[in-house]
Amino acid sequence: MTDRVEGLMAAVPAEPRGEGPEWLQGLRREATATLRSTGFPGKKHEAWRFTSVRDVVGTTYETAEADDGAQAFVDEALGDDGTFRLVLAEGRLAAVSGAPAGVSVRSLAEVLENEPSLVEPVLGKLAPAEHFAALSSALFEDGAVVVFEKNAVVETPVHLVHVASPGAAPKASYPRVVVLAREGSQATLVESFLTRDGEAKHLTNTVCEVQVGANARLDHARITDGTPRALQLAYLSVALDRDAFYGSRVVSLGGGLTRLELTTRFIGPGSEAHLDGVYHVDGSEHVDHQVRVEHAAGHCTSHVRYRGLLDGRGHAVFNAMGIVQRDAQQSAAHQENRNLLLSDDATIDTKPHLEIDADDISASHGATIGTVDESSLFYMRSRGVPESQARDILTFAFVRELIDRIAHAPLVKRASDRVLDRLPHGDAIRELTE
Amino acid sequence: MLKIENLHVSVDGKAILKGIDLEIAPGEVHAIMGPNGSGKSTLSYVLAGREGYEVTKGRVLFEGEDLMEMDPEARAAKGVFLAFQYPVEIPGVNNVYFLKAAVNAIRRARGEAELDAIQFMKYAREKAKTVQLPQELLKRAVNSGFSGGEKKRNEIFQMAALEPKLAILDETDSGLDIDALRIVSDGVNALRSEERAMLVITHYQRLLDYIVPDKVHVLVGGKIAKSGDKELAKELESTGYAEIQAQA
Repeated sequence: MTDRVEGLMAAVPAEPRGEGPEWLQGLRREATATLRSTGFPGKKHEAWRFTSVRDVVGTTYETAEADDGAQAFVDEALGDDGTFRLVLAEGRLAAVSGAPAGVSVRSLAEVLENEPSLVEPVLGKLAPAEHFAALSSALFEDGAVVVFEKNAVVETPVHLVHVASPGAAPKASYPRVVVLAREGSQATLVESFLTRDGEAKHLTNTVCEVQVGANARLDHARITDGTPRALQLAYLSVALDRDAFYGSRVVSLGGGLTRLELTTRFIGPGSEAHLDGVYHVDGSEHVDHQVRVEHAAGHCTSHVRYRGLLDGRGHAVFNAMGIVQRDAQQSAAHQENRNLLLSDDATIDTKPHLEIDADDISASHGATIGTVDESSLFYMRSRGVPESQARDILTFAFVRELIDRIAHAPLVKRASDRVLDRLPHGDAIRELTE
Repeated sequence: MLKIENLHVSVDGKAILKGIDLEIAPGEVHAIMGPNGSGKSTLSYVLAGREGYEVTKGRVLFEGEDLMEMDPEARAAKGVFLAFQYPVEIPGVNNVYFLKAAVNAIRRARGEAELDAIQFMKYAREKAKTVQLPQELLKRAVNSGFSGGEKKRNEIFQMAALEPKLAILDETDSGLDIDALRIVSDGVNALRSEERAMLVITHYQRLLDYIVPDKVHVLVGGKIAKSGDKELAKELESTGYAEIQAQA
């Protein structure tokens, strides 16, 4: 497929960007060279089998400039949600003030200028080195660096709101985020991806690298609101040191193309990761989750739980890969993907799988594709609830269980509301549950 | 109130009920007893309207209307309630929201004003008290993670809130310890009234010490083999079903 990529590849300069410390220049050189030699993935790549990027790579994009109206747009869209909120307009972070104690949030461009050693151990080290992650490494200009200080207990969620502002011609942005949860810290991070109305396609190509230190606890919600013109490709790469906890709460609602490649690596023993995801597709939307968990150390537990609602001619892809290395004894690796088909024309390609080289572990994986549970439906109808309403209640309940695990109540409400906005009788269910 | 005439029902082409005749008047409590496989649960499901049960002959009238023509929700709106033998767990659906949807759907169908959130909570709390349902169970997902006794109590709570005209209790006593049985029976007895009929299906005579029936029917091989008053249950306790089965 490499011969088809002129459009997006045109954004990649022949000579990598020259500024910054030597390690950064090296990262950009390698990323550029990798892209130029291997290009973008096609259907022969296992992880891209069911998601075509022909349209993405065939388009020529302008580099998106920050949108002055982004802050006002976010304030109106999200209201007061009790979080410490920062807006990244097309990947650019405006000045930060008033961070809660124990947290610092800085512009990545500023950190690379003034204190590059802060991000050197992580930036480009956790994320994959190819495809769209390489594109990010070659091209990113700014983003955010979030540091939760050692032993800090941060009650207020830190909320990065990524705003894409499509224009008359296709635009692309490359937000890059580094998160350092230092030893013993405890915090909630939220990322929201919003797309404003606009005519042309918009590519948001995000890479987020997260280091969870020893004994640290990080809960990370990631809520993506798609629009038909939004192409959202994202990598989220997490490394957990010993005795750490990482909770990932992904909510992906539609979009022309929404794809997340989440990689979680246990590099120290005694850690736990809960990787939850909820998705909904309708119309001709396409949502793809690739969830990879690498048990490189023993005594770690991973739970992958993804649930999807599939409507219209929507297409969802779920691929989980659990790897338990030979020395990672006493690991527990569990994967579950459940899907509710709401239309005959929707498609799901699901493949949870495990590769296990250790012998003393517990593991399970499974996927289901079905319709609303008939015995639950009859139970509700026998109590007088009309069939259509009972179906809607059960449909929402199917994903609600996971949404309820998001750490911050206003975010649970927002994620619930956004799902309900997309369901046929959402308002009736909302009224009932309030 | 309920009139079952020569009811034949098949499941997957296999005849289960083979000619049931039964009439229940308002205020009466009828008990149906019978061995495993006699068709007790089939009778309860077919009255509530579960799919997969084919009426091959006969009819069921509820207050003069053909019950079998109605959807399950329409039957509920008319006042038919089934307490399930195995109440269904519905993760993600809050117990009180579920019941609010049910109560308001039935009120709508009856042309009554719906209850708002505050009115409903007050109503639900009062009903929970009458059947000794712990308040914290109101907020949990429907039957999800409930003990066997809690599930059965939740059924009786729903019955209290929905105020049916005809309550069918399908083995509501099965698997309960004596304390739970007393609580459930007290809840049922509190709901007995001149206007309300009850059909109590049970495997065990013990329940009928607590919920004393006006009439007892013995279901064997898909037919009512014998009917009598509450003494029939006692008789069965000592003789067992074997004699009646032999006669049938």
